[in-house]
Amino acid sequence: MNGVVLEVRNIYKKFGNIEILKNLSFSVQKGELISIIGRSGCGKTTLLRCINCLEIFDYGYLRVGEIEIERTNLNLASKNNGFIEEIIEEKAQKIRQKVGMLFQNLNLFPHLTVLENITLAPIVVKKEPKEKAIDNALKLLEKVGLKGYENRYPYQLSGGQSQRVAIARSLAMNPEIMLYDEPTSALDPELIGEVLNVMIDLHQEGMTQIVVTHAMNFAKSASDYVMYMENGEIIEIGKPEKIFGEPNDPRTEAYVRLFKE
Amino acid sequence: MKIERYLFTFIFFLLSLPQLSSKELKVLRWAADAESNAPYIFQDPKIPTNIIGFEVDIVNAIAEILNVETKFVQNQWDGLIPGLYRGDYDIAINGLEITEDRKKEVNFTNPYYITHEQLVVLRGVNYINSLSDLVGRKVGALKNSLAERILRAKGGINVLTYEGEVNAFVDMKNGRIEAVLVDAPIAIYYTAVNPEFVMVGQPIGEISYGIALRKQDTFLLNKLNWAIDKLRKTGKLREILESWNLWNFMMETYFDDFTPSNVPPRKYQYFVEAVGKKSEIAERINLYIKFLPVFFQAALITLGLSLLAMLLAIFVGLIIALARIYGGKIISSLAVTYIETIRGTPLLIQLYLIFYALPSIGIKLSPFLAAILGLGLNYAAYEAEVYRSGFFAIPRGQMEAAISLGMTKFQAIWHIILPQAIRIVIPPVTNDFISLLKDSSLVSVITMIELTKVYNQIASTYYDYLGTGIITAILYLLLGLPFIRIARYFERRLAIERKGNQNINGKVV
Repeated sequence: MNGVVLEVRNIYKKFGNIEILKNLSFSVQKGELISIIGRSGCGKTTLLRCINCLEIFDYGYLRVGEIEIERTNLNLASKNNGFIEEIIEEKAQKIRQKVGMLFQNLNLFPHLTVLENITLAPIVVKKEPKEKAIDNALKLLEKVGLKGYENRYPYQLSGGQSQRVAIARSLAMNPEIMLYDEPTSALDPELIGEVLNVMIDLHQEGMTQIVVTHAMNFAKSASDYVMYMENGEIIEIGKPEKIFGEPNDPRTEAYVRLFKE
Repeated sequence: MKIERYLFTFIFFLLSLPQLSSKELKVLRWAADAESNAPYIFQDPKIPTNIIGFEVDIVNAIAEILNVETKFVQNQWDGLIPGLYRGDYDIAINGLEITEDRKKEVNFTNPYYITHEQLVVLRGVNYINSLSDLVGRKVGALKNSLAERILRAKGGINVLTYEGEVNAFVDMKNGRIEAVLVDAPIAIYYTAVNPEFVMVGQPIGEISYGIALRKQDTFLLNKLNWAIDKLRKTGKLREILESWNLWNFMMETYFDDFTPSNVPPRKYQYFVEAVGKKSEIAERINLYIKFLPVFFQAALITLGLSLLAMLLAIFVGLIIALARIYGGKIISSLAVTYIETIRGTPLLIQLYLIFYALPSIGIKLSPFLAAILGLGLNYAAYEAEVYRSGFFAIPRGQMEAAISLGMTKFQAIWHIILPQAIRIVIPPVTNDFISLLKDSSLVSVITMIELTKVYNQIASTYYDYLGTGIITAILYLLLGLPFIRIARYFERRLAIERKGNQNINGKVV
């Protein structure tokens, strides 16, 4: 499998009659950091949600680690077939455990402390012993630079701190891939750096990460590859210097030019 | 109440199970409404826990002849006849007039008392002495009583009907009506202790009280008739009626017994003495203090009943809310149907159905259980809607974050959504509990004796609705207050957390 941890092949997704994703294919090697850029509504968030199986695509093939979901014409036609849906949902849940996702909005669980936010899923989903989960959580908090914050409640944190706890929360599940959906767009400018730095640290540790972002400097400097999307299609994937320097496609060029001035 | 009548007819239709009537009678279970005022069945003015009245004496005399024990069962007057068929008691005796309508539903014994309707006016009113004088005037009568029928048959009289005679008398005092026509025993006792009212005119009409029992209990019917006849022959019945000052010319004719009265009306005097004299404030307060234990006990029943009903409502409501939100098409629409049906029908009818109709399909609940079930299942529908709004108040991202951490939907609901929703709904649920506390007074219709019932009983014994009413209101307030405080506390806490959230959200959409 050549270290390919994520494989996406011919994925389609519709909402009602509107095609959001049209025949997307790409793969990600272990340890890569991929930035997805593009205009609002181009389908990049939907793509992330499909990878994390928050939405199940209508047609295509997805592999995360060893878990595969395939939707062919055959089972597309029987979309209302409860049995197939059940199998897919079962696999989807396994995939969700392997994929961590960070959302644009701050959605720590407000009724739980920082520590409880991090340990809940390992204890509930992976049935980890509580002591082990706490141990691990404290290490993760240190890693995201929030040592000593474990007993705070989310309302006592700044936005940047919240996002860093959210990253720790996802990491606690020991994911193979981390997805970020505009992780800094809700933050005050001075808080953006602290979140991005955590991602850069993770990159150095070999975590596979996919980031949907409008932070072009980050995409340019930190990612291994940049993917440009438009109208539900992947227009171009390339090294950042290529995409931001001399992209192949005029549509990519038109977009990145917006950020040059 | 028309609707209740239809309901009862419907219930009788359902009741097809033969009752076990042939078994040896050891305990005579008899029902009445202890709120029905002197001299029928009422609380002893000096010892509120005792039930006295001329009908109590008659039941005891009959039991003595039949050599059986007696057991009193309290039931709302309207429910006396339906209750017979529930099987909680064997006979009902409480000023039940023997009418053709009622005879279709139950058997009556021969009359144990015959009396007439009596006009009562304010002292000093001298222009009313007969039915004819009432034409063109406003006159009060009890609902569905012979008095009402007589007044309506006369024509030209503006008839106002009342649930209880005290309301009619108070209205007369306040000038809303000019006369009241009631059964003579009521008139005798009410005017005796309220000198501002007087009886006027000749006796009007004739009314016979009988003991009601189930149609199929013919053996018991014969026994009772035999006992009543024996009471007549031995003079015991006359003695009872005389002691209550109720022996009258109609009874003389009925019993063919015209000898002069020889028994002093000592029970009548006992009542007049205890209730009649205008007591000083200090005495009144002493009286109230004497009642307090009875009130407290009833308040405890109200509280216990409400707490248990609310627990049920909270639990069932949660299930219904979850079913409605996460249940998929069929389950969700079932939940909606439940909510709409319960919310769209009166609690009173639901209580009647649970108490009187369920036994016909073999489910016979004790009054306490029926009350909890009735109130609890009713409030469950409201709580379900409260929960639903609580669930919707939680941002969708919470569910998604939980799911994306690999939780199942159930785990997400249990660990993430529910704990947050519960905090949001604590204040409204507590408010609902306070209104349940008050709604619990409705369960007196299914023979539960709770706070409001005790209030009515005591108030109607003393014709004192003000002082006892204030005591009752204070007790309800005291019961509800702690819960109002709890609601406030959680509201404040939630407000702090919300404010905190706004801070961190900053410019978050």
